[in-house]
Amino acid sequence: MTRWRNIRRLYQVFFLLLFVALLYGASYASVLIVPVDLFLEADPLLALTSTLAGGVLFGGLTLSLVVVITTLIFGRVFCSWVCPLGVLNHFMSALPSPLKKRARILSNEWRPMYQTKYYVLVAMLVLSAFGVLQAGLMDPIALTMRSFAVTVLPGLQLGGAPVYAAQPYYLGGWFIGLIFVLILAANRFVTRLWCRLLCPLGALLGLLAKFSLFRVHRDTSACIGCHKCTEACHGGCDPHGDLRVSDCVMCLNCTESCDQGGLRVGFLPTTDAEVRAPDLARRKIIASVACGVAMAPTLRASHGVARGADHDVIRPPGALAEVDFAAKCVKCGACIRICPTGVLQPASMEAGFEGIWTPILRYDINACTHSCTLCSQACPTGAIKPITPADRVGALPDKEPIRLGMAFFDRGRCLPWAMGTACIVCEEVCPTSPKAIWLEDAEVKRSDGTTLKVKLPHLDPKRCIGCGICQNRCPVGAKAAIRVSSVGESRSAENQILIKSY
Amino acid sequence: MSKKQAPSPPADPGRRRVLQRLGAAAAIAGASGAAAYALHDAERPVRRRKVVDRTIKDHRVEVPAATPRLVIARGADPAANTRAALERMGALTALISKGDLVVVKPNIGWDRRPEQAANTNPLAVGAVVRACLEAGAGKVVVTDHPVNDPARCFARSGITEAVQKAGGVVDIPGDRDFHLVTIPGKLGRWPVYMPFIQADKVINMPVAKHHSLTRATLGMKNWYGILGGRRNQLHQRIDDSVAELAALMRPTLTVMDATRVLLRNGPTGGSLADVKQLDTVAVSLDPVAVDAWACELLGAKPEEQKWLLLGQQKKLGVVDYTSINPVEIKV
Repeated sequence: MTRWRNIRRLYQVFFLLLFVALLYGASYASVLIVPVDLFLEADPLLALTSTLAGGVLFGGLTLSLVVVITTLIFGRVFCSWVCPLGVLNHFMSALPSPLKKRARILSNEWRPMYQTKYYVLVAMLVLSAFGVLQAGLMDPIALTMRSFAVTVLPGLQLGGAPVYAAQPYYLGGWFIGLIFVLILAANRFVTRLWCRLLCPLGALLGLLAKFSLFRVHRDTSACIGCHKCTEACHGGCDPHGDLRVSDCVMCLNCTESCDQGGLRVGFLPTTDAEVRAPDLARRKIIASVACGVAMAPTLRASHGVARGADHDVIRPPGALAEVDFAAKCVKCGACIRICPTGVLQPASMEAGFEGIWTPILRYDINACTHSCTLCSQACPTGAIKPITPADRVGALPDKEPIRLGMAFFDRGRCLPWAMGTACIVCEEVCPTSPKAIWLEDAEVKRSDGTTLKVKLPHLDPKRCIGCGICQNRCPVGAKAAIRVSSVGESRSAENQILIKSY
Repeated sequence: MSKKQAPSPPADPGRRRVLQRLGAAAAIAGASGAAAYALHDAERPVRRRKVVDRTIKDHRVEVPAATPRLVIARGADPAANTRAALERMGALTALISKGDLVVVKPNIGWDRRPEQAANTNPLAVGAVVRACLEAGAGKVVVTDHPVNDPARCFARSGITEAVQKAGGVVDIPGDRDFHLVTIPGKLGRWPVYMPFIQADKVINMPVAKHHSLTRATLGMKNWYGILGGRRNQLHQRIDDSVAELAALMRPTLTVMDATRVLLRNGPTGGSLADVKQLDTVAVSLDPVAVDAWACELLGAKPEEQKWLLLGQQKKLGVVDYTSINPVEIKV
């Protein structure tokens, strides 16, 4: 008998290490050789939903066909052998269970509620057909990458591991981390609860697994009714009864747990002892579709994408216009992980509910590096389209630079403008040439009646690219005397101040 | 859960039990009291943090009186210029002792390529590293605390590659390993990057650039790069800050890179139109004089620069660099 379980373990360890290694290696020094978005590009759910929403299967997402074909041949092996969240859930479930044997068998039986994931999938697909891409909230690859990027890796750094040069901090990271911990902790009560109940990628692969060539085959004549297979089962797919092919995650625990040789992996097994389709209720599917149809305008009607720009929603260089961005961003956090300065942050509600956990730049945290294009290289879906440093920097007057927004002085807080104190930091750090911030020689009065020669800073809106280094380095600190807002951003036709071409 | 019957208490607890309980209660009360006594403080709500003040050595070395204090080398190759200037000065073996930890401080402040002239020329940096190792240095560390993202600054400036080729070590600072040092004067305590505290010898390696507040940013201002914390505040008293930092850091040697000089839009630059090719490297034992000399490259009068005059006042060197008889060589 083939020791499938040990082979599976090797694959699990390999792919989990690969996933972590790619994330760990995603830095300026190694980005050219490390494809940080490899797992994302292999994800058929992200490929399908982002294609539905944006109309184009972008770039490397064609890699997801490998997973589609693999599933058509071997069933949901991706879930147990490759998926980092599946593997983590698997390991958490494999720890000694607090349940007694009988309770464990009962908890591993298939339940109707496990169909929830298919309804989640349907709602996500319908929603993306309306251009609202929310698959990333629950897609396991995006979810795991996001959790690692904003909580696990920064936590390791705080604990002393040298993941980053300097400690990054992520707004609302605790919430993303809490969800991740809850998903992992749930395994202690029900084996792979997330995978069975909610995972929309698992649901999608489950629908494909219906056609798989290889699957677990049960020889009913050999079964002595010991339920060892059910006790070991990870998919909750009833290997002891009629095997639910779409729910089987191909962990192959059952084939090895059967002493009688009654379960084996077979090629196109001819058996009646299986349920091939997920057996969904038509009314519930209709309800899921209705839910997706209703959610699209509901989300759009609230403050966010459709209204256009928010002054605080400053997107990475190369980001598409907000409506297209919303149709492409899967909230995976790859850009956030790779950002060398940590200025990219997961949005809370700044960009509406639709934009939750999408990347925004927070210049109170850091600034965007003038010629850096790493986030655009890390983005799997093209929500941040690939750009070159030359695209970013531009060459005025002929070639426009990519503008993220524009800086505005708050003269009431500015040292030379309001406080009779010399300062030129914003001008010093301004990376454009000629500088967007220029200085006017002036004499200002001080409280003691004396005057002081200072340089008063001004902004040239045509030169400002909105990189935010002036805001971040302003000595006035937490609320700087110069702040960037999104107006003037290259990606938007409407969010502009100046008439073009003058 | 099954209800458990509470055991009925024994009619007589017994002397042994009573003593045990009294003893335990007394011990807890005593320990609480002792802990309260030990930890109580009527004035301070939190424990005072221990602040270790580090000091920075004077890195200057006595050299023979005949040693030229300023050597200016001109030629097409920045590495050859640097080497020739060091050789003409002829003092490197006197300046560097066997096994010294030499810290070289180029300007690596910006995410710019070498031709944009915002950072010190990498070939010149490589030449200094090599010369130090040849002179007997145990280890040569090249570091700076940049304004832009450190990883990108070190890589794109070409300095990492040049230093590694020359056998030196680059130290890319993160947010750790800054320690408080009291700067002589009014600035008070500032966090300084550890290699500058540990160094046996320090070589300052600025690049000559335009700056809108000090007119030029040269060797004395290059010491901003050893600091962490909110060093941007120092621009409020920039002349004093530059002079006080220069009084803190007394380098073994200053190597001024004027291979490419940023004439406008300093200290960041960005456009090649701002850059003038001068193909010059100067080596000096007088940090004020070499800055005064470089000032003129940028069209500024040294005697009008307050920070230079303050430096002279603090006896860090002389503004009138001609008085120390600069030696000019062609390479």
